[in-house]
Amino acid sequence: MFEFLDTADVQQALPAGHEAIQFIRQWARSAVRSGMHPSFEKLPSKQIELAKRIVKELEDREGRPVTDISEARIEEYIKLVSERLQTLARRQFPVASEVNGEALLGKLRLVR
Amino acid sequence: MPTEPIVLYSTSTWLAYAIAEQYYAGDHYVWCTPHFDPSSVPPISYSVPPSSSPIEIYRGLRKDVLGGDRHSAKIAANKAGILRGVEVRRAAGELSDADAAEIVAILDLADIRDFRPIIFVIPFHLVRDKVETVPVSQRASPLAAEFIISHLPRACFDTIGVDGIEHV
Repeated sequence: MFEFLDTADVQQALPAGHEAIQFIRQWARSAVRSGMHPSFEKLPSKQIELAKRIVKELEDREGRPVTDISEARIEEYIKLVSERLQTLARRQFPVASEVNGEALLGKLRLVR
Repeated sequence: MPTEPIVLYSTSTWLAYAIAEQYYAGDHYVWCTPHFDPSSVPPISYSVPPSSSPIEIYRGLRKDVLGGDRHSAKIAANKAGILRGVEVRRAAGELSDADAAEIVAILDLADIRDFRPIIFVIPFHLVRDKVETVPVSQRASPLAAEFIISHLPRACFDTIGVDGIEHV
C-alpha cells in the first residue's frame, strides 16, 4: 500500500504523510464529533492531494470511512505510512560514505 | 480559556528533543495544552479526550518503550513527525541536506529507548507571543485549549520524565 509515496516529491510527501497520520489517528474523529468536515485546510494544495490520497487508499481498502476503522487497524496504517516516509527520506537524503551513523547516535545521546 | 494559563505541557520523545537540540540550535516545535491530566480538573473545564492528554501520551509511549514494542504505532508516528520537521527546516533553509541525511541515519539506527517520553513544562508568560491556537478541525475536541509553538527556545521550558529509562 501507499506505493505512490515512493516516487513522490519529498518536500511534499513528508509533511503530507505526517499530516495524514495525525488525521487518521485523531483529527478525523475529532472533526466529526464537532460537526465539522474533516479537511487538510492548512496544507498547500500538493500536500492536500497526497494526504487525501493516503486516506482514500486506506478507506478503499477497508470499505468504510476512516472514522469507522478500528484503532488496531489504524495503527497498522500509521506504521505503513511511516515506513514509506522513511524509505523516501533515505533515498532523498543518502548518508555520505564517510558518515558513521552509530557515532552520530552516540554523540546525540550525550544531549541533556 | 477564561484566563491566561500559568503553564503549558507537551509530551514528546527524547529523540525528537535531542535532534532539536543538536540540529535546530535548541529550537523546538511543540503541540501543548494547559491541562496535563484530565483527572485533575472538572470535566467541564477539560474537553481533551484522555487519550490525547500529555499524561496519557506519556503513559502510552512509556508502556511501549518499557515493553520493547518495536512495532509501536506511537513511535512510528513520532518518526514521521521528526521527518516532517526535517523537511520543513530544510525547506526553510535552516537545515542542510547533509544534516538531513544524518538525522535520517539516526532514525534508522535509534533504539526503542531513544523514543522514551519526555514532558515539556512551559511557563506561559515566557511564550505568550509565540503560541498559535490549533485550528478547531485539528483539536482533540472543539472546546479543548490546544496550542502550537513552532519555535520554542530551550530557555523557555523545563523537561521531566526520564523515569528510569535510559539509552543503553
